[in-house]
Amino acid sequence: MIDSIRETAGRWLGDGTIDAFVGFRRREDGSVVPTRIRKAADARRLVFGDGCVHNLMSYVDLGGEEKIGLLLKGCDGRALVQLMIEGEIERERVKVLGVVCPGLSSDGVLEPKCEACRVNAPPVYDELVATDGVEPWEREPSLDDVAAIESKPHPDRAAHFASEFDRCVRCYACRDVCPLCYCEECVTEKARPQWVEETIKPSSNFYWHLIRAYHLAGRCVECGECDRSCPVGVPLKVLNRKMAREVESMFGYVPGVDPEATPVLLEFKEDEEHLLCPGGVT
Amino acid sequence: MSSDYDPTIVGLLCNWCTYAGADLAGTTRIKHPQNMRAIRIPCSGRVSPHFLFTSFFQGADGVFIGGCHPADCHYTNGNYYARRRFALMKSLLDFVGVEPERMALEWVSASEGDRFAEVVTKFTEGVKGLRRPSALKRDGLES
Repeated sequence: MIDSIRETAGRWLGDGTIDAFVGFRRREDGSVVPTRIRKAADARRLVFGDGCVHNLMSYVDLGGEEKIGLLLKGCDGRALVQLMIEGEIERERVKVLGVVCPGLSSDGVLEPKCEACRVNAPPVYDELVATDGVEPWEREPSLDDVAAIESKPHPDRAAHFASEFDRCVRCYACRDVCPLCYCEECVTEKARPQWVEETIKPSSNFYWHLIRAYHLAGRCVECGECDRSCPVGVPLKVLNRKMAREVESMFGYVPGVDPEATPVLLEFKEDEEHLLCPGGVT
Repeated sequence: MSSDYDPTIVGLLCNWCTYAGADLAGTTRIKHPQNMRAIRIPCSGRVSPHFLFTSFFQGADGVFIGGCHPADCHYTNGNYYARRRFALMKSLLDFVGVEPERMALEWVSASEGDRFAEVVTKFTEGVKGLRRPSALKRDGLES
């Protein structure tokens, strides 16, 4: 598998198909990190396997001109497709080397982000690298985390989230690592009006996590990078997963699957009055 | 805090329909609860999630949005977009602890003063029926 990754990346760089290739390399201490290479000779350093958890779509300069080769897992591939849906990147700008992801582990335990995986191969690719014994699949993972919240009465839900958000240090790693959080000016940086207070306190932390979840509703591809990068373990993914299920049940839309789709809040149907019920007062 | 629960309700009312409907309810002296503070907006499609979130954090117990009936939007289809957005805002707030009774999007035309009074009364009674303030108030979170 790794041989075909190195061969393909080297070939694309060598014949000028791409200007740079984004993949993974191993450091001397054994850890695996994302890497961007520009020379065909460097392709021999590429690796894939446990530790390659990062969503490499976060490393693509959306406004850039360079032609980029990408090693994409299922989750990364969905991020690419959602960015295409939103008009943020042209399919022609990227060459995709897809991998049929076996699921990644850390110390023998499957990564939480892989537990929540819905599709293990990217929806679009130019070449696909097979993994021994792993077929491409789609599945509906357990929603126990969402159900656990929904089993609580409302005041307990608010108390639960308030105590979780209380730890947040507002480093915005969740935002910066997210391949779909690409606004040039984030609402947290706006002052007129200042919707989200910068001060770390219960109400402003709560606000930040609400607006983050809302802004990703119908867009989040559930790669779990927000959860993975949070230094204080705020359960971010559960909010995104909840909203993803709502969008799917309301509109039949799953982000990052069909490149021809229209973003879910940029269209409507006239006969959607059921969206207001139950709960509508009339 | 049961029968004396006097909730604060923010009303985001479309200039072209519900706001005028509220006016009509007032001028024709139709009785309805006084809990709602009306804010005039150009269209229900103007409602950003910030309007709901900020209302709740700043002390609202309920947020009522009034827009033009489907097919009657002054801007053709702002209310259709509002409907989709509102459904998601409500799901999210419900998930984090705001009871669904505290949020509504209703269609009230400029000629429906009686309907305005009716839906606002029902909404206010629904919020009152919860018998407790919203859990998202800043003062509550930071006490």
